[in-house]
Amino acid sequence: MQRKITLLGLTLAGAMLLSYVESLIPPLSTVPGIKIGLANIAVIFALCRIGTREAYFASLIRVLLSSLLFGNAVSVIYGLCGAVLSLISMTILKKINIFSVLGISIVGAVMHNVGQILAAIIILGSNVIVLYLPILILSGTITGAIIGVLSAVTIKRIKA
Amino acid sequence: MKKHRNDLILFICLTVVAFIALFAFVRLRTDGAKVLVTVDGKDFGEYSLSEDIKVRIGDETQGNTLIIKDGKAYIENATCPDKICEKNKIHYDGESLVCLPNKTVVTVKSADKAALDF
Repeated sequence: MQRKITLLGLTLAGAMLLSYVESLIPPLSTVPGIKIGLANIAVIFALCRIGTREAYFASLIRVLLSSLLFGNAVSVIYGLCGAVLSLISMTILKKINIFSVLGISIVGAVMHNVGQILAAIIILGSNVIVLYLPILILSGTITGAIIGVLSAVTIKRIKA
Repeated sequence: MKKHRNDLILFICLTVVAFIALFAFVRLRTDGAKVLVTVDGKDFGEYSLSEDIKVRIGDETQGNTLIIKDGKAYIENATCPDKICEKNKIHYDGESLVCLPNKTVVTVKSADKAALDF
């Protein structure tokens, strides 16, 4: 139990650090919400090596803290929506067990973007935002693959 | 190995779906006639794309300046940190400029409202 708490603390710290590193990178594109999502390496690590509850904790607290620190007040809601959808989908996929870390990461990334778009549509009251979906699915697939590879390496290499 | 095969199928499917959707959107787009600006979900104003205009949405400390020039709409002097909203000029029906921190959305609409499904 104590071991899990320690690991969780370290994972959250790692997620915060990755979030910070990512905040230093200038916006990658004109579309709001496109990020590499480095912090998700820590979330996926928690999901696969520690436990589901710890992964939820790490992800949600991370989104809360990092959007308050590096983002603005509004981004908290978008981030949480994306994170929740992403976590639920990744947890389900992990249970079904047809994808490796790579596939889980890809779906997690895409769902994160979808969640943010849905939040934006509701908050801004504008339906045309849905036109951003193809680009976000594409970027989610690619960034999800990259993060998936990095996560797989991390999971393999860290002996805890 | 089987899982990796599934990963690849997933990756390819998503990419193909995204490209098809993108392609469809690009093919089907039409020119817009006016822009609708909403702030925090509420209508702020409607401006024709054929008349050059400069409108400040908000004030100097928090807001965006909408500029319509030569049939295109874009944003300047945004008070947000990222300034993603300033990067594009839009004029096709359905295109939008979004400034999330300022909760501002500028959408291009066509003259015929019935044309939109949303």
